[in-house]
Formats: sequence, structure tokens, C-alpha cells
Amino acid sequence: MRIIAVTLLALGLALAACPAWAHGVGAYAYAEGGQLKGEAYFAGGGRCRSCRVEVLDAQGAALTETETDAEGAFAMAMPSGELPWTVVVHAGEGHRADYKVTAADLGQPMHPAGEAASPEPKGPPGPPPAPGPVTAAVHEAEFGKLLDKKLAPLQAQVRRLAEAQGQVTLRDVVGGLGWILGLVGVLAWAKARPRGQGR
Amino acid sequence: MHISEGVLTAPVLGAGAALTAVGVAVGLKKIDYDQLPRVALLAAVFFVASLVRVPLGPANVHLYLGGLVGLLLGWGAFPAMLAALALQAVLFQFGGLVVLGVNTFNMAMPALLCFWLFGRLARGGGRGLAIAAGFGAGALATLLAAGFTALALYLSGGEFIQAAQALVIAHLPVAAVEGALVALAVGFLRQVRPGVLGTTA
Repeated sequence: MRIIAVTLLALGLALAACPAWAHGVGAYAYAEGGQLKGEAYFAGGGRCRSCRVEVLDAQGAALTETETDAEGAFAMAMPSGELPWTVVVHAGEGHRADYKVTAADLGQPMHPAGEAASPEPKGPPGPPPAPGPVTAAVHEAEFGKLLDKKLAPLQAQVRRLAEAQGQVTLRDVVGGLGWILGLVGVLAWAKARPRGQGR
Repeated sequence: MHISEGVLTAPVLGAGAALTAVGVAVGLKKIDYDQLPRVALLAAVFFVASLVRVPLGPANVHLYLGGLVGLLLGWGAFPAMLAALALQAVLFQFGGLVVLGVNTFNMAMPALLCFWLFGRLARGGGRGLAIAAGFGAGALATLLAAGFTALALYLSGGEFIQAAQALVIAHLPVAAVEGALVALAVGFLRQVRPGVLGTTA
């Protein structure tokens, strides 16, 4: 029994140390340049290529549909519908990931649905009174472009963080193994009790 | 092979839960007190195996080891896999708790079937035959698990033939790897501890 224990345990630990982690699918979405963009990925790395992406409104009705490209990214014209939306990625084989898109993700002020117009990046707090409507629109467009450029590296970092968050850590594995030992211990107690002195 | 939450319909989820409940009840009764360390080890190995991605082929597939669990535990595969899959759902968000019944059945039933088909050969029989039986158990369990998964998706409204083809083809490399692994394990265990293979459960 000891040899089996050692062998199987060694196998288990060797597998646990393997860097090739699988395999839950995740997704996120954000607004950029008037489009709804996003990425679908497998936790721990790996892109979800040609995976179907659906956008549902707050009631679950389908708004638009598209597919991820070779990098696992997708982009579509900004849908219109009641927020919060749900971006659903179908990775095949019964794998599915949801991502809730709220007004904050789209850079809109947190007003109830109905007041939200076409999404723009957040401006500075307390905008000064504009000299005229045309000039204000031009300023906002330029400002929007500048913000897109400045925020792109930050968004890339958030993307990386989101991917890393889904990764399986050794802590999780050890926790699971501990639970298994504990459950079998309880089972052992349950099976030992009725026997009395017999065993 | 792990189906996510929100994919299957209620009838399929209910059927899977019911079948798994039966399997787990029988398994718990049949596990002998002396076999408990083995149950713990195999549940642990199965728990870790799903984290190992098999890089062969284009699809994103992982190790399963249902053949090994089935040959060594028989009906005990049901409670062992239920515990491991529940922990995977809670700790890693692989699969899910609502879909736990279906996922457990998809993975434990092939293990039990391979126990019935190959258990006796792996236990008795000549050494070559036993190793071949080990390969058969490892490979067939993987393909059956892929097939059961496709069936569950089909019964929830997917296209069965396409899903089945895609799943089985994606798991062919894994099946070969698993067959080799279980064959090796059977060969080793027969030399060291023959009583472990094919329990009387």
C-alpha cells in the first residue's frame, strides 16, 4: 500500500507542478472609439479563437453577435439596449463565460438607463461652461482621442490582471487536496463506527 | 469535458443529478474500509489531473484519468469524482455546482463501464493481456467521457453529430496518452500489488 501511496502521490505532485494549467474560459469587454471591444481567453493563457460572442441586454434578449479573431479579441459597433448587458462567449465543448457590461465599463456617468447617450470616455470632473456648442464638441472629440491613447496601456494591464486572476494557484490545489483527505477521513469514521471492536 | 454553468437545460441537469445520486449512493456503500486510502489518493490524482493541459492537437483539452480511477475503484469512482469535481467547481470555477451532477455522471460512468469491461482482465489474465486491458480502459474511458459530454450538450439543444465529432477528435490524443499511462500503471501494480486492481465492488 505504501508503494502505491508514494507512487500516486508523486504523480499527483508532479502534475501539480506542471506549468501547463488548464482551462476555464473568461471574457471581458470595454468601450473604445465608439466600439464595444473585448477578449476571450483561457485562464492561465491561451486565446479563444473563432468563439461565438453574444451580447444580451438586461432582459436577456440578444442584441448582436460576432466571433473572436485569431487573437481571441472581438470588436463590434456599440450595441444599443438596456444596460447592464451580458457578453456571453461560447468556447465550444460546453464552455461558456459571461461578462457583465455596466455603464461604468462604457465610461458613462452612473445615471439610470434612458438618460445614457452614445458612450464617451469620462471627462474631467466639473466641466467648465463651454463657449459654444460646436467648439465644445470638437474639444470633447479631441479629448476623447487623447484619453483613448493614454488609457490603452492601463487597459492592457487590466487585461493581463484579469487573465492572471483566473489562473489556478498551488494554494488552490493544496486546499483541494486537503479537503479530499478530510472528506475521506469523515468517511472512514462513518464506516468504522458500526463495526465496534470487529475491526 | 467540464460543462460550464448555464449551458444545459433543466431536464438534463435533473437527470444527471439523479443518476449521479444513485451512483454515489451505491459507491459509498461498496467502498470497503480498507480501500479508503486508495479512494483518497485516486480522488486527489483525478482532482489534479484536470489541471494538466495536453498540448497535442489544436483544441484545449486536459488529462482525465477516468480509466485509472475506474479500474482501481469501480463504483467508488462516483463518490471520488463527485468530491473532486465539486472542489474544482468551488476552488477553480471549472464546471459548476448546478451542473455537477451531469459532469460527475459524464466522467464517472465511463470509469465504471471500463471497470466492468476491463477489470477482470487487468486483475487476472496474462501480463500482456492485462497491460492491453489497461490501455483499452484508459483510452475508451476518455472517448466515452467525451461522448457523454456531447450527448448532454445535444440533449440541451446543440447539434449532436458535430459536437460529438469535435469532442471525440479533440480527445483522441488525450485518449492515447491516457491509454499509455493506465497500461503502465497496470503493469506496475500487477508486479507490486496485484490485489489493488479490479476491486470486488
